[in-house]
Amino acid sequence: MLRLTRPAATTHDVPACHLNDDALLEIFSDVYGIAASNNSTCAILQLSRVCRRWRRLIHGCSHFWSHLQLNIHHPEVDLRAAYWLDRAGNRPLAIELYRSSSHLGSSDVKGLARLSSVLGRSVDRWSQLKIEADLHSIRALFDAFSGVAQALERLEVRLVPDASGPSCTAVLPIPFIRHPSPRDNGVRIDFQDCIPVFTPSFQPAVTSIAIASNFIYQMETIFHVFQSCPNLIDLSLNSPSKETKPYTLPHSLPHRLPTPPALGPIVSSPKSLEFLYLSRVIWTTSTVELLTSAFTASPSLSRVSLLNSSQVSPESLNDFNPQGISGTPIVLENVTEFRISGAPIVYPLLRRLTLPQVQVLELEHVPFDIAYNLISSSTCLTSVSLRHIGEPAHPSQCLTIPTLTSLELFNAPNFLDCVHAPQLNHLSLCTDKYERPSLGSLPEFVEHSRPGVLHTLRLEGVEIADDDLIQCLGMLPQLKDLALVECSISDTILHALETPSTKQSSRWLLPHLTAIELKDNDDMTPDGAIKFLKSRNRTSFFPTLVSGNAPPRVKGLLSFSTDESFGEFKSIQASRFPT
Amino acid sequence: MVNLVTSDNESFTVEKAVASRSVLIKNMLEDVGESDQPIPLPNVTASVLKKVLEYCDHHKNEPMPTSEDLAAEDTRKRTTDIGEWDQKFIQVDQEMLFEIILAANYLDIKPLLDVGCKTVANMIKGKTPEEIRKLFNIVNDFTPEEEAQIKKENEWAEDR
Repeated sequence: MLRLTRPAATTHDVPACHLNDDALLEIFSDVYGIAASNNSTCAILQLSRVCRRWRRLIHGCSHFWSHLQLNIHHPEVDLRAAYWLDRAGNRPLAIELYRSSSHLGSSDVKGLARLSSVLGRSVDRWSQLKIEADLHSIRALFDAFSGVAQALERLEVRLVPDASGPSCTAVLPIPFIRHPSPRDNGVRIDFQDCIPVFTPSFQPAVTSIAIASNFIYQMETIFHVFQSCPNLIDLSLNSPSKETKPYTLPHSLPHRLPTPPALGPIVSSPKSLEFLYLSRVIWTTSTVELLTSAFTASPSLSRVSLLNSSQVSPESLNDFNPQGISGTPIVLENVTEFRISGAPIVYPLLRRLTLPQVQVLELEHVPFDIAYNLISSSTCLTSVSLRHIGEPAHPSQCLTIPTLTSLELFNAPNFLDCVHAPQLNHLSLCTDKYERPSLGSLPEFVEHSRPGVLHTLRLEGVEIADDDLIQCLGMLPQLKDLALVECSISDTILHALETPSTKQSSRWLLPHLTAIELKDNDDMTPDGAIKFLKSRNRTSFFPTLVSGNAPPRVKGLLSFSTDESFGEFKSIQASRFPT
Repeated sequence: MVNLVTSDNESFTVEKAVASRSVLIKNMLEDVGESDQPIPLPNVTASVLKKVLEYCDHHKNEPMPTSEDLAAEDTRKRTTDIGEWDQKFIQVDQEMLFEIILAANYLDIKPLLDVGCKTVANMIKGKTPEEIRKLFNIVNDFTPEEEAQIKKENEWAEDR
């Protein structure tokens, strides 16, 4: 691997000159590799300016010249490209073309043509191509970049807005050709504010597409891209946030939404698809069509995420309609993670789903029956998060989920009535500040589930009687982390949690507690909180735990909307928890 | 045990597991088989070998890097992370640092070569050519033509 001889005699008898070429190149490679990608070229050029020997070594090593970073508006960009390519030998090339931040004028058409001409000769060796420029320049470059891009592994395009920039997402034809090869590792596509359209020979090579956009685009366009890539594994769409308006169902609309008419002939989703991510999606028939296609034609699908989509009105979440379930059931055999922020248009599709292997389930803005059915269809759920789930139309049978370790409910308190989870480790029950439903079912849930391993409990914005909460906490001996935020509780809770004053005290709630968050609870006072923390953190006397160990100190995060002085609390904090 | 003889004729008797951290010595041992013959190391002085053996002794129980590891290293992004013990070990004067790198190169001890090169890379990174010359006492020996070419490269590199 390395030469075993010392270098020839050097003109300078200093230790650095004793290093042979291999060792020096190793050091240069380290400097080149550790510099941030934006600086790697600068870093290596700096080294090449130290002395003739270093320069000779760097200019003779193609590795340092295979990453081209070119400002497309520089008047000599074509010369620079040629200079780099001369030294890069036959290595695969990573090419990064950008418009300098100071350049706001129109493109130099002749300059781009010269650059395209120089770069275009090496298309077959490109492993990565990243372009960050205005639409006009990008189009001009791709017009000239035809050829067989057999080595391309990653294609990244980011549209930089200019004065005459687009108001909608641009469609960008990608002219590359690719020959079929069993050793093809596929191409990852990452586009911002533009949508690629590939040549037929290139489509089979595309295995991953990520598109983010700040502008409105037609889902149909995406749909065509999605369909055109038969070996796609990963599809990720991030739609414009500012264009997504809250979606409220007009009251005149019927509650029972029919299956979207566009579902007619099911188009073929790639069989290879494994990951489907749609963020801030706007629900249209095309979106549902795309989902239906993926659910029915992609047996490898394992992760589905459609979050931050349009919001829906709470009324529309109550459209329970067993007769409205249409279409044949769809079993997603391999889906292990399923996250969706729904809308009425997708409810019929969701009602057809069964997720036997799902482990992580996050549902938002869906009716109760959909959430209930999806939960009951799995035998291996470990984590469930439900947000804005409608009221149940009928009482539902209680589900025991022995594998469930994490349950988060936000504006979905009714779910506690129909779930038992004996292995629960984390429970979070939150509601909107102004709704504050009664949590009468919490004691019953704890009583039935007996989650002896519950370590974390968070209650936020809930109505619960002090006695009920104390009863619950008495059944959670392993709890370590407790958060009580904007609840209808008083200092009675804190008093019950204080360390018993005598060894003979038989009842001690939450002996393993290590952290507590108390924020703006109705009748909880700073005095009560301070007294509780003093009790838990005193050093003079501790009852021991069953294990014989001293109980842990309790860290408090306190927040009160009051003018009362916190002087005493601050002094406790300073003495107990020095920073 | 293995007997190693340095360029300044000092003998070191070390465990085979320690000496075999060097691929060069390991191959030599495999070639000669069981033998009491001392192994000459004409490119390493006693003071440097002592330091190298300290490193080998500390790492003797770690798995040797495979050819796959070495191949993967070319494609993986390099870091300047150096383990805590290695950092202390390599806190030596500049001359010893370069001697260790040369010895690691000669003896084919890739992990030690990495530690040495990363240390030098850390010394270099972020410095101007002039600062590097000063640090390592290197003379600027460019011709005027080369200086002109360097100036041109500078213009290309600084337009982002």
